[in-house]
Amino acid sequence: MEKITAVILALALSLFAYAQDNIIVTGIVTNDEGEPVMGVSIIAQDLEGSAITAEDGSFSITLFSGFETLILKGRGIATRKYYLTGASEVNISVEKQKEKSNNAEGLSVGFGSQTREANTSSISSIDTESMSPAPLINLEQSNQGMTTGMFVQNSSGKLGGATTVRVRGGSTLSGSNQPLYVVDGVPLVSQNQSNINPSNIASIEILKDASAAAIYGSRAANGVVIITTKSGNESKLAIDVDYQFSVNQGPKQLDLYTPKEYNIQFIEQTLRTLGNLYEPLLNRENLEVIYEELEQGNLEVDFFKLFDDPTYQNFTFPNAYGNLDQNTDWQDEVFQTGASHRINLSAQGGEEFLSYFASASYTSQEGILIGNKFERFNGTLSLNSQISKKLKASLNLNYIYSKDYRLLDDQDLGSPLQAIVLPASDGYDPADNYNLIVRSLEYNPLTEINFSDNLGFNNSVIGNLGLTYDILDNLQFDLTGGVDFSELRDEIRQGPETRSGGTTGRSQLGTTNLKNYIFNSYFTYNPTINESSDLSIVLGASYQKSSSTASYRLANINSISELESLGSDDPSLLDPSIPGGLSVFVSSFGRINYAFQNKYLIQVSGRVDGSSKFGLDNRYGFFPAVSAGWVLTEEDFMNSVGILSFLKVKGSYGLIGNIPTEDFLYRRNYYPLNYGSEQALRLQNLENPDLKWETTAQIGVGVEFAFGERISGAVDFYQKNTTDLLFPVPVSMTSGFASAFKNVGEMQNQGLEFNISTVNISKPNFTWSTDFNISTNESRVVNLNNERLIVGVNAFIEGEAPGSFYMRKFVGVNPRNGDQLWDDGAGGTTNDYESAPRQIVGNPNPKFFGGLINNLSYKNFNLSFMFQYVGGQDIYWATGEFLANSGILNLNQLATQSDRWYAEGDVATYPVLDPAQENTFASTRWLQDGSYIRLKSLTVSYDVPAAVGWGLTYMNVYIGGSNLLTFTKYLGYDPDVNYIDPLDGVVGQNISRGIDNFTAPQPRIFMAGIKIGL
Amino acid sequence: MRTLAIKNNFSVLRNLILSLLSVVIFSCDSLLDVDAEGTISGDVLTSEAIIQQSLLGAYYSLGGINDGSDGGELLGGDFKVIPELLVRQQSLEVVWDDVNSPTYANFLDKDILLTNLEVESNWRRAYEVINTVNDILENIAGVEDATQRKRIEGEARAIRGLLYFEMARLWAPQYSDATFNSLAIPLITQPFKSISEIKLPEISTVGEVYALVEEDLLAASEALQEFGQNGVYLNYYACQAYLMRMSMHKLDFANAQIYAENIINSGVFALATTPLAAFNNTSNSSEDVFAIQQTLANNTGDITSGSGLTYLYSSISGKGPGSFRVQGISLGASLADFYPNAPAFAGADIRGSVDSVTSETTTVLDLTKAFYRHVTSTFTLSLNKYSSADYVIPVIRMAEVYLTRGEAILELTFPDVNEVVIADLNRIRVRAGLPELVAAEFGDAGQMRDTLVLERRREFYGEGLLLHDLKRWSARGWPAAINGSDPLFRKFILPYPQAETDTWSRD
Repeated sequence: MEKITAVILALALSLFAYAQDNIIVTGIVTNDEGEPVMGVSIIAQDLEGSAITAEDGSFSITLFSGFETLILKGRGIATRKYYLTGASEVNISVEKQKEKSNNAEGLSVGFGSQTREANTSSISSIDTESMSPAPLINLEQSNQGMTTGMFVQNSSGKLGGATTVRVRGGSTLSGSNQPLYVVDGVPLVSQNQSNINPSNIASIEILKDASAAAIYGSRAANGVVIITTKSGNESKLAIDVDYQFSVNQGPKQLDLYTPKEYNIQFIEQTLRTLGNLYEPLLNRENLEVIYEELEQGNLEVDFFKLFDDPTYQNFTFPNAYGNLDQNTDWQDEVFQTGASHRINLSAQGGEEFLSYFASASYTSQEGILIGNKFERFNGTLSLNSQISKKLKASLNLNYIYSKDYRLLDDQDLGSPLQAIVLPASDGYDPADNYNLIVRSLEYNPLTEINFSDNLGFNNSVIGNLGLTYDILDNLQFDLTGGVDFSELRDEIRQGPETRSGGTTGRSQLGTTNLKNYIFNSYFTYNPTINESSDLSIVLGASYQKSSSTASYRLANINSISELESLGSDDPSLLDPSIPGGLSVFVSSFGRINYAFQNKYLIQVSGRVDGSSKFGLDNRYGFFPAVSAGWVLTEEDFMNSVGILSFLKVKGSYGLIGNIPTEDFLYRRNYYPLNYGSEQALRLQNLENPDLKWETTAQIGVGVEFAFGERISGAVDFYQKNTTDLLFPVPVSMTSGFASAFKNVGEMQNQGLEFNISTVNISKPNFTWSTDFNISTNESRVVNLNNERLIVGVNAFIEGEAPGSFYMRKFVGVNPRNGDQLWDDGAGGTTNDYESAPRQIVGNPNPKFFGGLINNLSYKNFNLSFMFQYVGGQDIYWATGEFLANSGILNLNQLATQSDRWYAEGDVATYPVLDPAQENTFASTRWLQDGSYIRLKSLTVSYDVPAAVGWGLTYMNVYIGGSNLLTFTKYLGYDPDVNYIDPLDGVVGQNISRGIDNFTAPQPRIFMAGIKIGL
Repeated sequence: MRTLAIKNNFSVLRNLILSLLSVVIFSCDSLLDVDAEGTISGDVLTSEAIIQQSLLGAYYSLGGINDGSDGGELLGGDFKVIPELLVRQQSLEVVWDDVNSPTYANFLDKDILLTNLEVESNWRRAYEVINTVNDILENIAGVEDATQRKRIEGEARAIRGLLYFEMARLWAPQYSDATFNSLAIPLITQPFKSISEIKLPEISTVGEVYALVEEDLLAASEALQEFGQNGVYLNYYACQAYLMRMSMHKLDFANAQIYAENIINSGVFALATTPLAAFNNTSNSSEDVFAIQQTLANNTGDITSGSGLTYLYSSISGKGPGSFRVQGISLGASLADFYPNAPAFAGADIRGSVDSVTSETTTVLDLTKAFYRHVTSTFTLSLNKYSSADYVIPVIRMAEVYLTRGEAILELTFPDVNEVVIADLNRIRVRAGLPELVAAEFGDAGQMRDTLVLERRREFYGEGLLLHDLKRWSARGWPAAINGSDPLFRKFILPYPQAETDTWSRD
């Protein structure tokens, strides 16, 4: 890994090459009435070079070529892009901006915004403009590698797959470790952040420390991601259209057995099954000889003839062997090249009274595995209205509809990638339900794909209505109401041809209905104290109610519509009543910001949360935070330090709460079920009135700096301690329960974050800028009340990283008999799996991760590419238990498995093929270094200047790709993987990390697109 | 000083926020006192309707209805399968499907790990049932109607009594003078309400457990007598049958005879016409004194759940892999010496009949014999007793009541050859297609006992009764062995699950 680190650092450092610039463009900026506008900042896109208009609206900016794109921003005007076409004098008109509740210029900090300079807490923002136009249908994926402190890991390359996001490490054991997503002021419970149209996102801010997140109180322990979608400006009608086409491919093929190699394994398996009858004969050379003999077509092998050895009787191989004469590339059978389209149409405009932004987009993606497809429609509407001088209103609506052609779970037989363990020399018969010709007991995923439907529908809306009233010039009252509604429907029909379909077929239908309401009201007060002091106070209250209902039906019939029409008293129908969920928050919050001479900054914030999840005595939690900053460059004594143009040190401390996933654990809950056909009642949990908030205390310090105009960056250190961990403590089962939720234990995360942005080259026709970020996080379970929780090969153990790999250590092969050997824990080895102790052998959590983004411009061409990397993480390649196990189950193997032990004296990497061994014995044999560097995206785009002549405001065409190159030692398809077993439950999923279990890799994507403005 | 300032800041802020909270949101607690759809919370056992539902919840778990989570089928499965596997010889009598049902292999191996999942899940679920009936008994006053109150209380005590008895048979030494004060299992008689009430459990002795079992079952018998058959639920006769079982374990044959005759003489139940008719019924047969009710939707599991009695025993397509694979040769009389606990079917015994033509298209309705060729593992047989998960699972059959009365009388009149014993034997034999026996055929009472023991092995094959029979026979001094070992050996007693004992050492 050190090598990879070195490469990254070298890359980053080598970029500090400088050059000088030259063309000067002058002009005047005017408004719709032709009046000059002062104070407009003009930036050449992707450059630090800028200008500000004077009182008469004039400006002068130094550029490279005169073909740049200028971005004009300023108080009260609508931000606009202006494409230079080589002229040295230009007049640019701008339009008035409709004010928004979240000032686009500032950082969105929750219930308000701040300038970056004045901010004292830890907030990352992602510039949505610089995000690759790659067709990632998921917002979280687009953030991978973009910023410090946010680790993004894909669970699978299947479409619509979940993404693991960790802001400064996971801080809880029993609950979700995903950050809280707030879309247009609505804290989501629906997980629909991944379904928001990425093209409509105006800004993304990540609140990382307690000081930033405390305003969201509980649920913010894992960070907060604030997403603001685009809204309308007061301007003429502007229409934007973009279309993108892309193809998706599997990134790599594993090197699997040839038909010959499989048949050799088959021969060995057959002969070894006969015990020691033929054992002395078995070595690699002889197996090849037998193979050649069988190739002649005669299944009866005369060992005397072959080896001149009368010890062995003739042996007749089963007839099936004769049919192992196919050559099937199972990877070809299940991987496909998928085509994807995305079209996006938006319109915006309006007047002072009412401005609007509306968009519609349609995405259709084909996955890299057969049967996997995803379609989504997004519609959005945003209205802003200045109703009266003092009253403003805003409305944001996001509608989502998606249809997901799903695949079975990765670990299920019937999931396409399971095909890679099918014999290369076997084939299938489409006329016989795609069953395998020889190994007919193995399940061919093609059968599942061809005779089943697996559909997921999502019908959701996220909306927010806000009113802002200016009580006084410096006192404002905001009232907002939001909804986050989601209707999910999962249909699975498996025909009688499939494995689960039995003789009649099987149909399942699940629905989930989620309703989440939020109401906020808050005052913002900005009193003027004196010239040098800025004070801002926010005080508010909030009410949130989330409820869910779910249903499930199953019957052994081959039709979803028939399943739906079954009466609830039909004896063939299984429809358990699923208790609904309901959670209410009642909260109050406040924040005070004070700045003195822009030098000394302090922020104090707090939130009182009341949650329906707790009993009377523990309902309310108070979560305060404080942070302070000192801008040293504002001090006189810093004037002499010439090269530093900006330097701020800051520190913060605060508490954030976390709630249990389950509702009402403080009281006894019962749920209904049926005995025979009579209704019955069962106790779900004993009461725990003492249950209280899990608390995360976070301390952070950081430095922000800039050297001149060209280099800026930040360094942050944090430590997060979570106490009163909500944990399912095992209890005496004489209570009827195996575990009970209590507050015990402690976890810690700490890390360093560093990012730097540089402008490396500024030449007339050529610019080059670089952003580099790296983050470390070290996570540790400090105390768990002497408990340990083990799920598969992962564990929560005191003193170790959460989810540490805990398994037996594979140490090699006994050259005498080919046995697997494991570390016996006492310095020796053993061939007895049970007696080998499990030990901590790896860490699925990355030690560091980050990204390197480069932007190069040449005239109207722009090239951007991004490397993303993860270091020091281990992955358990569970696939290998089947695909690389010396062939014990007689499945197809990775080609390297031919290097197994055959005969005494072989010094082999892999143990003997023992046909009696049924258990694959999880061990470090399949534990691997999952570090990688990836060329995550590369885009070349071209602004077509002639487009202006065609009546367009702009036109941009681009080509690019995603996941183009990956450098890793990992043996499986893709090290960006984290298989989540849906059966594990929340705690199990938190423990079981870094697993690759026949998991689909991230696709390699090639794309082309066009964007135009009308 | 600085920290003080921060604290001050916090408290000012806090007061500010709290006062705002009280202004903006009045009566927050009422906003937070909410209920989700379909949840029933708090102290709910206050009415007859809810208490009755809770009682059915106890039946649900007692019968091991599949709940999709951790298993533990109790009367509806594991209390048959576990003891059955403990007496069968690995491979020679039963080939177990380790791949589909790995957690049961321990029992056939007679080497039960402390971490065995089946031991753990049945232990837990049994105590869940105990907690449910304790809760009902504590809140029984909530049933206003006196008649219903009597019935519900009777059924709840019956459940507690028979469940503690079954648990003692599995997790404790066989009842005897020597083991009377040996540790058995924790006896819990008060419901748990809060997790803070969970304490280190006190383990009661065999004597104490049997005393509670007897007290509960006698009280239940008295309460339930007026309710007759009581639908498909626990009734007076089932209580008497469990008292009969318990008396046999205590070697109290006189009482066993009385309890058995209370059932027989009532005339409420009758042997089914054939041994096959006693199984695979959609409702209780005439000989079911008590049976677990299943429907297609609510059952102990099959191929869809990957667990349960049908999954383990049935190899019919869509039902299960038939993990319990019988070696056909072990059923016959020819190798009887080799298989001392096998049924040694002879002659035209219907109970030993085999359907030898089966395929993947065979359905449950096609089965007409006691065994059938295993559908996928074709060199073995499947037992046709629990072939589909929508059939009732008999817990106490009249066949057992008759054979037990016969055995009790035999013990009481030993060494005389008693006509009632022969009559009871003949009822079972004739129904199975075997010839009637007459007194003259028996040289002595020992031979008659051998016949009776053999008849029990045949009649209850796969039902898990034999382990308990062998234990009480051994305690009585009759020859009894499992794989050459005394059935009273520790290895035939289930261990306390490690997950349980781990919590004991912690507190």
